[in-house]
Amino acid sequence: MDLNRYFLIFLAAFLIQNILLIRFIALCSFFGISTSVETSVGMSLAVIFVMMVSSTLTWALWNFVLEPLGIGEFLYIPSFILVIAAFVQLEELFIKKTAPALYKAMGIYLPLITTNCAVLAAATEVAKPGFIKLSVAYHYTLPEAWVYTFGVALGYSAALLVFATLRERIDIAPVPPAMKGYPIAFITASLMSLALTGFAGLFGV
Amino acid sequence: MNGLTGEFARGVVRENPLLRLMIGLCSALAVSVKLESSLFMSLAVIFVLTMSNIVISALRRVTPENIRIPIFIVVVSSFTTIVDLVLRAYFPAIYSRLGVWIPLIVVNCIILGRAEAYAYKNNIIRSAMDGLGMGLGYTLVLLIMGFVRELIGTGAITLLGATLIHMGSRFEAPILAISFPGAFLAFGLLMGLLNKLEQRQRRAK
Amino acid sequence: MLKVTSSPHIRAQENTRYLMRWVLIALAPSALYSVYLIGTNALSVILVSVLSCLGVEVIWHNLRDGKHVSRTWWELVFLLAIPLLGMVPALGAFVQWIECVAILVVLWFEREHRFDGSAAVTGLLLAMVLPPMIPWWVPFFGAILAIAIGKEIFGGLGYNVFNPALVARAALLISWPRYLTAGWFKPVVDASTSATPLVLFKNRLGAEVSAVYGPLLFSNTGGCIGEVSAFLLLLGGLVLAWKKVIHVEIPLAYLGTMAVFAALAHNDPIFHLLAGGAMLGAWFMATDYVTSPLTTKGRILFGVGCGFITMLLRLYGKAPEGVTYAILFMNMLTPLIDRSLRPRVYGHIAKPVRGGK
Repeated sequence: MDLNRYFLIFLAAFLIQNILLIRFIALCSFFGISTSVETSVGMSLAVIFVMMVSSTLTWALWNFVLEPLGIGEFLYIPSFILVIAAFVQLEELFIKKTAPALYKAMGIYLPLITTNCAVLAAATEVAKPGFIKLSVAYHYTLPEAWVYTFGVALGYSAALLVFATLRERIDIAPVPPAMKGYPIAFITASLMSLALTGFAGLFGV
Repeated sequence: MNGLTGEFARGVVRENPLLRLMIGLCSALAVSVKLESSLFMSLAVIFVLTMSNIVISALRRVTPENIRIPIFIVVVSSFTTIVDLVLRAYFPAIYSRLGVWIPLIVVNCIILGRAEAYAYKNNIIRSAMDGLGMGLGYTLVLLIMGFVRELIGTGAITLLGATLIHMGSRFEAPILAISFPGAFLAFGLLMGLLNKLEQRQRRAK
Repeated sequence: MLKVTSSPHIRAQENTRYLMRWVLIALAPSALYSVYLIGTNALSVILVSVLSCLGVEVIWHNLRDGKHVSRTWWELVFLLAIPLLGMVPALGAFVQWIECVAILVVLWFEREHRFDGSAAVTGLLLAMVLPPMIPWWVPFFGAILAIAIGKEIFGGLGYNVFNPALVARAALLISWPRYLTAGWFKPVVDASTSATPLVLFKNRLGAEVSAVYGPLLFSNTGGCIGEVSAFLLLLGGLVLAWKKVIHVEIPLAYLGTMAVFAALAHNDPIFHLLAGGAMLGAWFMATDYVTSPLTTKGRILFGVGCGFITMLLRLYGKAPEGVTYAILFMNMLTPLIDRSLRPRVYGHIAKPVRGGK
């Protein structure tokens, strides 16, 4: 497997098909969490970690259980989301016991992650390629699945962090009263998305 | 207590899921590119939301507190799978356009949010009304967005193959309206407009 | 509504006027020269763009501050109705001039409004990144987007996050791609293909490219209005640097990075510096105070980022040019750059991680 392919998968997942700004997935957390930079960083770390593990789990579940048994098409939604929910619960208990400091930093974000669409979307994409329309891959090997998931998670984190810093600035601006708060946040997100549209087609992705 | 109509009306206006509670945004922004996809997505969400509210409410006395989230998820994902399979069998063209958003109904924050905040604590009829009201609130915003964006961005409105409105050939449709940045922009402006109207109403009182 | 502003705002506005006047002076030779080379089309794009920006600013400010509200609404309706005259066949060719006159009339009614000059700069910059043969209503809507969505909705000058002119260009490029990627006046290089030099020479080597140095420097009519003469733009940029209107580290980092990148990728660095929007972007767009970092280190990083992304998009992207998106992208990162390069306060200890709400 050449490095080039990994690079393209990463670039697509990270920037060109950015999960938040181009694919519109996980927007609730995007607008809800980005009110401060600290919470954005905490959430990002938690998302990166949970995504990597849950994608590995769903990839294995699909390729070793659901696909061989031929029951994937109608069981993939419940089984994937259950795997993610179960893993998040276990992880929460585990971190609480073993690493209280870490728990303090990202513990409160963990329950939110179960319903974070980005986790489910990435986990489903690596199992059933084409779920999020990505032109690069038709079948993911496990390393490719990792690269892809890491790209998505990092793209999520980067967009969240940048958005949080922009919002810190916008919060103190004399925005028209009707646009204060969420409306202006949407306009900002729109312009961020506009800036990213120029990257479509980079390296043929 | 103003009865069942109150439960119903609350979701449409005062606690509109998209404009007030800021949940369920991802699918709303993505599918509102066309009136037709808005309509089908809304129907799917109303169905899943109402049915899962009813079932969760019916099971609320036998559901143990600790594992309620996984149980909610099983219920929601069952109904999502039904919608997924039905749409794929009978409306393949619409299914392919809605794409990932049908499976992602599972993690649509509106549905799990209402299950947790409402259906788990109230009786079946009230939960059903809450589901219908919230679903209708979602539908209303989606239809407005879908109508405006399709009309401006393509210069025409088509529904199930029939052209309802055509702006004429002199109208040069700005593709911005149906692009990714346009979704954020339209939503932000819609929210700002409603805020403005609300302010005016409050001042008039 | 009570508006609270910091106290020395009259001085601040005078300062803004001074800076904006110099930017206009520095841009004037390029704009006038393109009108000389291209003719009425360039003039109409520039006039429509600048006047519309001024008009939108007046109308927005009046409605925001509650001044002459009903009159302002009428002015808004009046100006927005004029493009509909284009439907009348006999008037079709003159609508842009009618619109210009109408805006002038509105500006005369609002003559007590104090402009800080930023809207005129935005308008001129917007005109300079558009092709000259574009339908007149494209710069008109572009001006509305630039002032309303790019600037005023964020609270006006000083609070916008992105460069307004580039926001408008990017939005127009998505909206009407066929007008924005054609409509060049007269291709200098090869009259049969009607393409800009950047389109023709994408990924080519030095020898044949050096033939277009002359046209790019002095008479490139195959590009946007602002691309006619890299020499005049450079001259304007140097004037701004001499008057200390811009921070010179941004264009230097920008153009330097582009040259290095091009050389490493076996492309002709001089060609890439002269072609397309590089000069305009580096000297006039990336240097916008509001949307670029506050510290020198931050500005160098900003310029390097712009140059890198510009070349990345030019060489490996789908479109021939990348200046617009490079600057918009770095605008987006500006608060992050400022935040991470903020001078440390003495005795300040790293913030403890806060468990959020």
